Amino acid sequence: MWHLYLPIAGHSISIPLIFILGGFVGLLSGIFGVGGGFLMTPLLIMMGIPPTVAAASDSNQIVAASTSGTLAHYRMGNVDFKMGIYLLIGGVVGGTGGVWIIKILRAMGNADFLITVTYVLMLGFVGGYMFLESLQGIRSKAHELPPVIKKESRYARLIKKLPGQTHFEKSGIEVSIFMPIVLGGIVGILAAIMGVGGGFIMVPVMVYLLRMPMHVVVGTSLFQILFTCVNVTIMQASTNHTVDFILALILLLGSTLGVQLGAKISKKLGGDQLKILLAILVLLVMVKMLFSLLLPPDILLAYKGGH
Amino acid sequence: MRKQLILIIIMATVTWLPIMSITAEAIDIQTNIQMEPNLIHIGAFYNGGQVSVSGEVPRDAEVIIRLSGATQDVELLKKGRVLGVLWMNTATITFHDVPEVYMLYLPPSIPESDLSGDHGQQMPAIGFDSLKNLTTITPAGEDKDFQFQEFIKLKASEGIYAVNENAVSYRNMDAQKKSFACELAIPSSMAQGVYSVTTFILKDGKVVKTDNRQLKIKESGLPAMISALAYDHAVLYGIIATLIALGAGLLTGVLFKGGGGH
Repeated sequence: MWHLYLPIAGHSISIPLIFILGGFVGLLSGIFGVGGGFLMTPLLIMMGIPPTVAAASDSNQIVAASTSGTLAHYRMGNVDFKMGIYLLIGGVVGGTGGVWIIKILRAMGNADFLITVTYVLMLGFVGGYMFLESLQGIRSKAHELPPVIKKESRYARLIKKLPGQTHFEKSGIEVSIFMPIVLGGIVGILAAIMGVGGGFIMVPVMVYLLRMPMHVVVGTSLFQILFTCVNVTIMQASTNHTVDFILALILLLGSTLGVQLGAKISKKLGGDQLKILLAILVLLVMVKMLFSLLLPPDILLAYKGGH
Repeated sequence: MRKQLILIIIMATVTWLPIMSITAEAIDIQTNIQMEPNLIHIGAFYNGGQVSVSGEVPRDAEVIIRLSGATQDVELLKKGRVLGVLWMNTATITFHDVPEVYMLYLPPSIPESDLSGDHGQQMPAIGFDSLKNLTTITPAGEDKDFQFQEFIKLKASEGIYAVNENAVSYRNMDAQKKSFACELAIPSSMAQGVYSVTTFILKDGKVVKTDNRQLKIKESGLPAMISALAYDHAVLYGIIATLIALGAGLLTGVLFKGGGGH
């Protein structure tokens, strides 16, 4: 009675285990505004779910978790819908472009190597930078040092000169509308090439390149992820038949609860604390990827698909 | 001339004798093989099944049971070292005409190594080594022994390729006969379809009788309904799955309204 059969995955699975897994990944989503596919997909594969089904069903459950999370963050006033929509426009265009780029790269050969190495380096760079930057922030607060007034950087001056400057009320910033569209596009391309949702790249982009406050970043990221995953779920279900709704349902029962709890935890943590925790998570994912690249695998054959 | 005639008669007798004896024994052996059940339903709470195969054989006979699926081509990613340090998917490799499922159930006296096909006519060539000989791999330049060994490891990790030693048990009935019994554990990863359960009866290391039965695995109830929707009305299925997820997310959001506020 504690097992359910997954008709699309072609495998039965323990209900409590999947529920707990959904809850845990939902918690991370609520705290950091990431989809959690980087963690969920490999864990589902370890449980015997085919890679393509694991990735597609995870997208289906993220629809629920990100709806629940967006709602929770919205109530706290942490969703910048305007910014989210511009990022989304860029993301959809970039995602479509990314699919074409990956086809060209694959045709040229050795694309997988290039992608994986870029992914690891990028995770390392983003995680490392975020870790050091937020550590500095926490330290300066702990010693009650006055905030260092930095000279306006060349980057800040450059983005102020861009045309189409718009005020984003929720984020409290003024940037060109082309910024979120172009950055959303770049993240979309990267996400499509690497086969991940993009939350991991989008969150640092919003923090460091759009200079949005961390709490608004988490809510806005979840809002954006919601639309990306609606698109992925319908596309995967209609073209590849890889969405296992039973699997998604058990996962989402856990994740929708987890994400609510995560949103509350997120609210209680300071911006720097959130950033440093996310930085640690990003670095852990990088170390895990690095290990999987360096250690000889148990089996030297694998099925196609997955993250 | 007389000597030559005698030689021809002896040669003919020697050549035909084993075939005549197998035929004679094959007719004589009464096995009364039973398989229960021969249809497994995959319902909502299905977590694999069990099939019992039993029967009677001569007291000096041995029984081997094989559960196998239809043959298919399997395309996989090969992992290799890039730049001498990084393990990555380096190429695709295709295994042709490999069975979807392959499980052997052996009695205590027969190890898997006896079934490799290296023992002349003595043992049935149904071990993994013999399976390797029936399989072709593309690209052709691959190290077949190594790649097939990895293929077996991959399939074994899913529970659909296995050699179960000591899996057939016997109980003596009288001076001539004994009964045998074997439980075939059906993993949930075995997809719905028709499988073949073959019982080999051996005497003095030779197969004297084979019995073939069909095992059907079929989805029913909720899994059948979801599969039909997912494959026959894929877009509708995708939209329903998305709407239910949206609804569940909204519902949880509303339920948590009280606690989440400003």
